[in-house]
Amino acid sequence: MSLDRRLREGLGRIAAGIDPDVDWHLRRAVRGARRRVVLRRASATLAAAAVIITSLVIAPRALDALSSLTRRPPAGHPVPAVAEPTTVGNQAIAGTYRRSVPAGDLDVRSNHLAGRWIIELRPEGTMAVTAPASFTGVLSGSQFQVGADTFRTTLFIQDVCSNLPVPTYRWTRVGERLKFTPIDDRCGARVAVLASGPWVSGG
Amino acid sequence: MLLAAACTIAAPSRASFRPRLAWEPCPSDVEIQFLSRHRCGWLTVLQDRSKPKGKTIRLLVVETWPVGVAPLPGRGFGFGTNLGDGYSHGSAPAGATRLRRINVALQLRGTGHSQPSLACPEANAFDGREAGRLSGDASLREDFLSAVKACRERLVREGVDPARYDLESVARDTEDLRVALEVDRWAYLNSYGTSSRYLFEYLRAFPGRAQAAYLDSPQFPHVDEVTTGVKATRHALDQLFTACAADKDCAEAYPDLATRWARAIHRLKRQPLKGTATLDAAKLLRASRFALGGDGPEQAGLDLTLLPATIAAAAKGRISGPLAAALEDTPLYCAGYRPLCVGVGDRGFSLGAYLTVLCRDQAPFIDRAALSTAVGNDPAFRELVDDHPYLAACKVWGVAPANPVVARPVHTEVPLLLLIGQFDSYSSAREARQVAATLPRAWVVQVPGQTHNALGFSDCPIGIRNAWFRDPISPPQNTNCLDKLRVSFSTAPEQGGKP
Repeated sequence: MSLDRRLREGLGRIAAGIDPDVDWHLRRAVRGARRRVVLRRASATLAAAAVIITSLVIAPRALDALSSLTRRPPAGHPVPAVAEPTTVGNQAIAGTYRRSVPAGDLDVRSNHLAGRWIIELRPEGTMAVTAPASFTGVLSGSQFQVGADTFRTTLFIQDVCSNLPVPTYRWTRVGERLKFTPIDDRCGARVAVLASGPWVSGG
Repeated sequence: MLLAAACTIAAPSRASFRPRLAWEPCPSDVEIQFLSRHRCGWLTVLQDRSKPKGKTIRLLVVETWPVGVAPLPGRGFGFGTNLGDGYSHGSAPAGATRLRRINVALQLRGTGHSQPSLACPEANAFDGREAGRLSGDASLREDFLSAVKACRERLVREGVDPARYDLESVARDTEDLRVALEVDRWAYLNSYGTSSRYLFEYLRAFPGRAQAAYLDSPQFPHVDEVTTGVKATRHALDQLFTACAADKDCAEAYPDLATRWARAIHRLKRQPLKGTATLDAAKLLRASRFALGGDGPEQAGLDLTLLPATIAAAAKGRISGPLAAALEDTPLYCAGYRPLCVGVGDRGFSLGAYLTVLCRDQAPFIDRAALSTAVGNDPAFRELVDDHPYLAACKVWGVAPANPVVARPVHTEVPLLLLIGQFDSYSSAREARQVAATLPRAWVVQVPGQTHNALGFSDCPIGIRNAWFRDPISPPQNTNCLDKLRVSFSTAPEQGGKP
């Protein structure tokens, strides 16, 4: 465990529950120590009090110095919002599909996209992609999201279609055939792979 | 022991400022990039930490969860892309999923959505005016410098202190964010391109706060970007000539490319070419560096695969179509000086954030003798350096030099993986190896066929990185897939003309 963590956790425990009015605690502890000075075990008591005083004075400041931050939101602070898009719609077209992308288009040629493609659309929104051997780009980590009739995907977002917005397609499925029609995609290579022909269900 | 340690720490006054982190809905253009779990927040910190009652600034924080798997404990943190460039979060979920950690991104002070922005729309107004002019055009240079001056004056009027957008401040922002998130140690740090300078400063200022770090196409703190750029570009051109000679089609179409390059430079030095764009020797060098530093084929149409044809055409007195497009379309003083020339606009590139790091953290510490040696007698490289518009802008940007420690080598025990593309004209594999040799746990992976984005175009280096991350105190294992990576040069007539 790091020194930082030990300090934060250890001193945090020591400081827990104390009144933040450190001066009041200090005066009180000193007065108490003076009253007990005549007692038989005065020296031991004083030593203990010194430890307490030191803890009271140092601990909060040490924590301040370590963090210089408010690490927890104040009372009444809104609960952090986590945007978690629904994946319910993904089930509608979950499965494995394949198609062959024909050569000819400039985007296809320059990106070596021609050949057999397989996509596995998983219900949780991940997308396993198998490309022709000629394509050497990034396939891992692709995602998709299905709406009522819309399909969005991060396919090729890292390389072939980098620095472009996540596109939107319309999807239709008839029997074994899944078809994508671009609504908004500025990446010609992705349009060529996804939408230049239908995908057929099955590995 | 705890009390003893605590006694050694300077206690701030009760009036000291406390940074705040508040979660809020993401800005719409960030939100639309996500298909999976994420959240946005704003970190409020002091612009100048020496002034507890001074101006505060807000930095956008974006957290991304892995998809389809539960995250492992710990968070990773990324310093983003090249200095001053804007942010794309679209591939963040893929990164989080591959490393199975919640990934944290901070839009660094002065950039992206963070407030205030140090973007300079005053200078953006001159985009596109360079195409028809010669390198070093004095009139355009004066316009640019006037725009930079106007930008600075506007920002200062708004309460911005440009010097406070430097490496040290960003490192401290990162540490404030770590504490705000209650992260004990970052599971990993990462950087892409020249943002490595932030990462190294963080490692220097806050040792022991990360378990490992991987740096894609890094630069190093002890060598400024101008000197590294000259060395890396020269090396990348040599790699290009060698690779073309080794490629049957390229060698057949453009034999002895190195000689053609020398011929083109000599010819253009004597007589620039004029078409829809003007091409002189320095502009050919800049365009070639742009292609070698290319971050994808969307970069104005000129990329590594087209470079042999482009050079061959220039040697014959022609400007190829992709080269003309690159000269016409890229923003002012971008190609050949900055790695990425897309995403223009206020959130696309923050000139001010870039200038502060260049002018405060690098320029004052340039080793002029080393730079002169790197340039040698090459007239195109000499012009590239002598006419450097951003170094010229330092005179009007007016930030004092940083503490010289920012320009010293960083010693760290944190395991580092340095990934560099074979043709990268912005990052030097030689410098990376020299740095790795001085550190106990640092390794270099050179990625064949790649430019200034070693992790960007193939699952092979991504897989190597993923595997290394599982055991970062050992060298990367099983790098055999690198052997299959190579570049395929275009020899199609429409891409530059066969000789």
